[in-house]
Amino acid sequence: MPDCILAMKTRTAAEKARRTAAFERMETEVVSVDPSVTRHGCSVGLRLNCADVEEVTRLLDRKGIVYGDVIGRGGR
Amino acid sequence: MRTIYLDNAATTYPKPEEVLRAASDAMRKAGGNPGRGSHRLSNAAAELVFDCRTAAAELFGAEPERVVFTMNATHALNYAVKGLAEAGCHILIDNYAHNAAYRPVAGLADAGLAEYDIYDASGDEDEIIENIRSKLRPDTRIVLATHQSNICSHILPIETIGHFCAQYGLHFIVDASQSAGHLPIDLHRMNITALCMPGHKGLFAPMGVGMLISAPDVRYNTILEGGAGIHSLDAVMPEELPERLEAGTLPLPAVAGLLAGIRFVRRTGLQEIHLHECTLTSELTDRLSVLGGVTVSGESVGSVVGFRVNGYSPAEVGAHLASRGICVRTGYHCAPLAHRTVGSFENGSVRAGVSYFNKMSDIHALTGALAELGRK
Repeated sequence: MPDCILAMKTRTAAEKARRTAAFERMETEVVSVDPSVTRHGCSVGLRLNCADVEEVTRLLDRKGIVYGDVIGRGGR
Repeated sequence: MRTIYLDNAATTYPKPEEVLRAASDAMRKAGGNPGRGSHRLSNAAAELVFDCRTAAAELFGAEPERVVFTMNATHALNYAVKGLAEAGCHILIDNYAHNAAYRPVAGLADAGLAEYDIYDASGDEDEIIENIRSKLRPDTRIVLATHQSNICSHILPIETIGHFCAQYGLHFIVDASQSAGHLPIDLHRMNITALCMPGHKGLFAPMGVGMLISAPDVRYNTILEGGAGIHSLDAVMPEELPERLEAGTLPLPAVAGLLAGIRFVRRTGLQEIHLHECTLTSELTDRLSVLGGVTVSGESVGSVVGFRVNGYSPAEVGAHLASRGICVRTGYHCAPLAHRTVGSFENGSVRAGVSYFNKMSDIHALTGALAELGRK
């Protein structure tokens, strides 16, 4: 299953999202996002299994953690 | 000669051993720049920073992303005052305020950007609320309170003031420089908008880190801009806390030490710490009262005792104590408003500040050295 990247507003929000997901046994990773994708320069995202996107975003909504779009496959 | 450290209101010493270890380990094992990359060392540093935000949030009843690291309490208070003030607004500040709180407010007024009044916070809860109410204006936006004075152990009823501020829709800024790590503080329950504190006092961190802990949905104007590790093509700081207020690299070793210090405080217990400090300051107060020629300024049971010795200036008393290896602080303690309030404005006072690591023998050594002055 390919990885997806969920854009996050800040590094702190990304870390909170990672820990929140980990608490629910969903593995994610905080990664840098290619600046060409965001047009804002350096950005961070949450790399996760594409199959988990719906469940993770539902969880983040429930916890009030703001996230952006799913911006496709990502690297480090 | 044994050194007896009673200047803990300036900075705590010694620090718990785990604080020293944590600060050192941060440089040895997590040496990356937190939030500036996603390689292993940067991630390790960022996780450590988030651990500290979480620990602080748990101790002070807030959310981790509302914990902003600053250089110190002064930096946090400048942010709170100048970041929340609206142009031309009116601010109320208490008469125990340290210059770290007073000068940012007075600075805004001096620049014609705000007006302020000082309310008397020396009475009981009802009197303090009435004093605040009597000075409220339609354009009042901020009430600032010094949780505990830095020249005596006077404590303001911040929960009551917080509820009052919530009723009137006012921002409530609390200077917790002398209370964080000594007294319970809950941002949510006490309706605090902005809680400001140093790391290096009651939380036992190394110098170089403080915190501005903020209520949800409060927006600050920035007073310091720069790299935030995110959205680097934008000309302005990001909207979201904490990154909005954290321009530049964080002091990772100090943050790591702060995390260890917070854990030490939580493990030891605020009640245990406060009880120990009250036991010491109560003994000091009793002994000063029988020395003769010593005047205690303001409340003295807590963590800070201010006093004067007849016939000697505070500086002379401090020099005598220093010659006996006893470290205290003399003068005005950057708190002219407070000295005026407790009646020690003329020359200031001698301040003894205790911490959890002081022993009763330290108090006895202090009063023994003071007794020598009476025999001179």
